[in-house]
Amino acid sequence: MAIPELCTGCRICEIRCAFRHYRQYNPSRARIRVARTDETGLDVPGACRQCSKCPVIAVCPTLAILRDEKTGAVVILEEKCDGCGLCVDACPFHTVYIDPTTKLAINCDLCGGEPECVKHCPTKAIQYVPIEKATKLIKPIPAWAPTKR
Amino acid sequence: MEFKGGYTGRILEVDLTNRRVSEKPLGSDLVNGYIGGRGFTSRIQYDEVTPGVDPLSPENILVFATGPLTGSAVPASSRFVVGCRSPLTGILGDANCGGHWGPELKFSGYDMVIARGKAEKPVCLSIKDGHAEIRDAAHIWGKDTRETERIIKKELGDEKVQIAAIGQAGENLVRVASIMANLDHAAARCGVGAVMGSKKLKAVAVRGTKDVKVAEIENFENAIKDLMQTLDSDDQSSKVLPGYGTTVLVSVHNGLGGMATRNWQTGVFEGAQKIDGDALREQYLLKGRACFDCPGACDRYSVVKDGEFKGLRVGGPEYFTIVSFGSKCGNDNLASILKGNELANLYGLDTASTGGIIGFAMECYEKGLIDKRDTDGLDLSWGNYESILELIRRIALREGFGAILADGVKQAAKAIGKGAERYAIHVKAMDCVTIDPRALKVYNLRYAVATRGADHLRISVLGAYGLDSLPLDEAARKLKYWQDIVAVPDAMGFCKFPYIFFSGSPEITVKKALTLATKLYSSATGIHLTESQVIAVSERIASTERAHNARLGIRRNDDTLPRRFLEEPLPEGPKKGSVYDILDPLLDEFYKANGCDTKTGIPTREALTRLGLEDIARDLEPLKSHP
Repeated sequence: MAIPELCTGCRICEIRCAFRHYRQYNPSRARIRVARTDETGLDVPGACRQCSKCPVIAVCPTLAILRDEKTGAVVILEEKCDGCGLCVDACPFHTVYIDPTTKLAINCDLCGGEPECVKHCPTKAIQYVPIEKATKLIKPIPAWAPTKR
Repeated sequence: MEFKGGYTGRILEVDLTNRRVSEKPLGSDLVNGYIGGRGFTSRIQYDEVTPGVDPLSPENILVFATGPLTGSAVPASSRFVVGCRSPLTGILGDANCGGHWGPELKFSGYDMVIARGKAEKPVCLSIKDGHAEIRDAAHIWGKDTRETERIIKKELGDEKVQIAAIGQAGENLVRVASIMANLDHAAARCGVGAVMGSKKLKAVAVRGTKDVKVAEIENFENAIKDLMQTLDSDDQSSKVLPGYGTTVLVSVHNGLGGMATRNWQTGVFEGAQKIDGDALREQYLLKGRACFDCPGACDRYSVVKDGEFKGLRVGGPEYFTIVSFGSKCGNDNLASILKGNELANLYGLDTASTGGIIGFAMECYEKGLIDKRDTDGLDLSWGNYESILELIRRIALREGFGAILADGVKQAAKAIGKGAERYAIHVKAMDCVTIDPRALKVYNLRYAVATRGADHLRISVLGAYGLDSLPLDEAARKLKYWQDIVAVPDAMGFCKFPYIFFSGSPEITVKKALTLATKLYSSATGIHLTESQVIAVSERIASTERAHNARLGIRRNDDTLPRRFLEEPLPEGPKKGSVYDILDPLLDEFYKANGCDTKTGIPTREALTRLGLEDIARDLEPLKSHP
């Protein structure tokens, strides 16, 4: 899950995600992307929410999208994907992307259960927790919180 | 030259006069001699901007240069440098900028963009994945930076495009105009925005989807891991940097008795507690924000929820913005400082210089050199923030009295006359920015000797407070040593803050900014350098810059400090009674440490030859007969 008020927009998650998947330093191949809006100062990390009723799986004409039984992640099989882009349009959260290098669809695959972005996020703005804990999560206090003097 | 990593190896040449773009390869001489960033902009200026070129003429060039590590996975690798002859100082000019623009240029396939000539009508440049196009921008001319970003993003149909643009100040050739990237990141100093305006280049939009290649991935990743652990374990970079950013310096400098107050009349500001880093955190700070790939997040984002400036949202402020629109102008209203920050960002003005100029005008007003008839009715009493905000607008638009101030503090003093020069606190026409030299003496020789005017970023010493107790020769050697360390991030493309300023000790700084930086450079590019070879590059950069300025007539008597610091004792605070009384002996030692002639300040033939700069030594030969 993402906690936007803790996100600084540094995009380390993007860099580490692309490196984990392609051993390349290229944020535009990342499966997590930070929507930075400079006019408001808001930064929102966006990655596949792994919805239980994923509308994307059903639209794939090549049956390239399926659910990983171990992690529960919605996974796109590169070898079956033909890059038609129907899934990109079908995702209500806009978190399926076309990889600019392969021109095939990509989304967050939870790195097989150990998300790289979570490991590297400097403010803990991205966390990977069991769903029952997610609602009761105590948010970390950011370094810039008001001080008492 | 083929590059295995770090560099893309390609330079985009933009001929604005003939509306043509072309490409050329990055040369090995530049890479081996100067690494990148400020090294590139300084050498290119030396080679191409010959003496006699007017900074605002089509003959000046505008270089946007990344470093080999910009946009790589190196923490805080966000920086790029804009170089051109400065319309403020008339000498070497450059401005360093973070944000996300520099990395995007790298992703688009270029190390550098060099803009030449002058467009007939306003244009903007759009670069995407190795292709560049010059587009009409007449409909954007006259718009502020926010509106400019909105329009260009809409026209290009891409929210992810990164834009570096000028506001009205750059268009109006205001000599302290900045280039703004991502709305609130500024390539601010030296009036680079005015040069962009003189070329009728409104904006450079970049978008790239390529990767930054790395020659030896294992070594590179290991060095990054080491660096991240060092940053994490150091409270300065892991807590103070995101907690306060540079605003931590307000209370530090005020406590030292060196906070620039009422145009440097004193070093203690009675309203400091109302405008310091804690005051910001308590009242207005929304969050820390980060440049590309930085765990530090020192950038501030502030929101005003009530009162006169309700609804204001602004990226900032930095320490020097607080000082400029705050203590320098006797203003303790923090919300108004944020408003000033917003206006400067929208118009595209250097907040540091703009506040310095307004503080100067306020002192002229206090001393009776000008009155309301001169200021078009504005009451310039200390702390009158309504007038400060109005003056920002008039400077940007060159309206009335604002037009006089728009040429910088030195020219404005000339125009006002009546001895106003005495209150113009500048070196080589650039205003001083941070701490009062009378409060911290050795360290602040940096204002006198910096190669782009009164600059505070060419020499940064951790442990600056201990220097004043050292013998001058040893102190001067330390200044020179730190001048070389500071040039490493400038050349490689990462940020000074997490690597240098925010460090627990000088040893940690050297580990980060030299030892690990050398490893990162070597593994990224496959060009293996030793630490002493990297330091030699730093020396080459500084010497090339000094040589450039020497050709333009800069000599030892220009490497000085404003009379106020040399003659007027600090009136109060812990350093009460202090004047800057070590200039000449310290300059002697500094020149010796830098291989410069102590009479003229010009680099010696021996020093230049040792650095492999025989060509520059030959160029400087004729100067010897005109010392």
